[in-house]
Amino acid sequence: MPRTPLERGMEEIRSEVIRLGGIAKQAVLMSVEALKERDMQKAARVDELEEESDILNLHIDENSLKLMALQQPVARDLRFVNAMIKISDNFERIADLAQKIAEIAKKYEERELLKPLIDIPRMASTIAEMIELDLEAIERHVSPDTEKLVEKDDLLDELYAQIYNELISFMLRDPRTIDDATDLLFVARYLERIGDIAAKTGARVVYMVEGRRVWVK
Amino acid sequence: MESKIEVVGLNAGFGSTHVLKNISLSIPRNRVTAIIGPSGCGKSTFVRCLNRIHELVPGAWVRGKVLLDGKNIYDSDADPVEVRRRVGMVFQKPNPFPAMSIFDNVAYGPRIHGVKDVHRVVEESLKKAALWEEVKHRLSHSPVSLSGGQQQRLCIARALAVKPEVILFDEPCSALDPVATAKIEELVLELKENYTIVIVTHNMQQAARIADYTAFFLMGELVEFGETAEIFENPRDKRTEDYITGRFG
Repeated sequence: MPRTPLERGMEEIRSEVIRLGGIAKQAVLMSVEALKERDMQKAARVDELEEESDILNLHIDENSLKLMALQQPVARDLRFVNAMIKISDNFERIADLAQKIAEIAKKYEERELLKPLIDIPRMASTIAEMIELDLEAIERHVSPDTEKLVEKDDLLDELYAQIYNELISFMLRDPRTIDDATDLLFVARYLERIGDIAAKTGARVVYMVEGRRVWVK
Repeated sequence: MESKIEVVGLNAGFGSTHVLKNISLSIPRNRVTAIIGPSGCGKSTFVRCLNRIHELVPGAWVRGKVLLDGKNIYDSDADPVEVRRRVGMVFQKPNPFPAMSIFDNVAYGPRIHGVKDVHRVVEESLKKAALWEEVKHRLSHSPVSLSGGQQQRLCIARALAVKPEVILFDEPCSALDPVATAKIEELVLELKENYTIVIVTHNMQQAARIADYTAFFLMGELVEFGETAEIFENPRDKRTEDYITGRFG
């Protein structure tokens, strides 16, 4: 059966959202690499990715509104378009937070980090796995494995708590570390927040596919 | 949700054709209930059973109960004329009596029912139908001079003039342009303050815009009934979803 304009429009939005999710994932990984390797080129690349994500998000928003105005989707189609608008915002927000990490990385062009990064890169790779779970579900139009998402989100919370405690002890021991420790604390906090957004995105995909509300938290 | 009409095990048809199959449904008081479904699903037959005009067609039959305020309109002691006064109807094509004036179109019902102050009833009904301002200086004119939308509002005024409690609309906007349609829709939303409304429509967006509750009929069966927002965002039955999203068949 030939596809209707509504179906064609929905597929276009779907592929743009998947592309935006890929950009968000890349921005997170690259921002943490920029920090870890003190690589200013990578930090600058995150700025570019953030800008791309803004443009793409706006485009998805416009396309979705146009589709609603002209094709009046209902039921699963309505849930799909609504989910795409929200998820697109989520991915754009993730890219924003990644840029904040890249901003912190730029402060370390000429100086050493407080400590070698181990848990922070682990947080970034966990986030990348979560975003992949979301993207695969969106692509195949199935519910994501929410148990896995919860597991990974819990891991992020644990890592954040661990990093928090470690950095606080640095600061207590030597107040001169407060500035650098706060930077890393912010990075961990941003990553923890990104994990929440990736988990919420999975819950939104469940509603889109099944019409069932779940809380991934 | 207090129900105005309670339909219980309703079956109806024509001769050997079984159109409605065991329909049970509560129509809430002072709310708009939309009936949707593909052509031939029994929507019109259903509403025509609610005021006993289905039986006027030769060979038509009805079984089951339609309780209006708890009293079965098909009981042997029920008066079909009184039922049709209490449950008025507006049809697809505006059908004013062409040989009568605008005034007489509205006055016809009240006169038959022996109402004394016909002038007041006509003015009130035309005001409620949002037509008074447009016709008050030409009440003696023929309704043929009115636009389609105005004619439909005249038919609504005619239905209101006999003081019904329920108004059935059978695709009231299918012959109207978007501006006239918007006026009728606005009117339906105003009327639900005082009347119980049932509207048959092929226009999904119209159902979504004006109905509080929506019933989906398919091949003579009631597939799904629920709050309109729920039906259009998250229908429970796949057949409802396939129909409203246009993927039917």
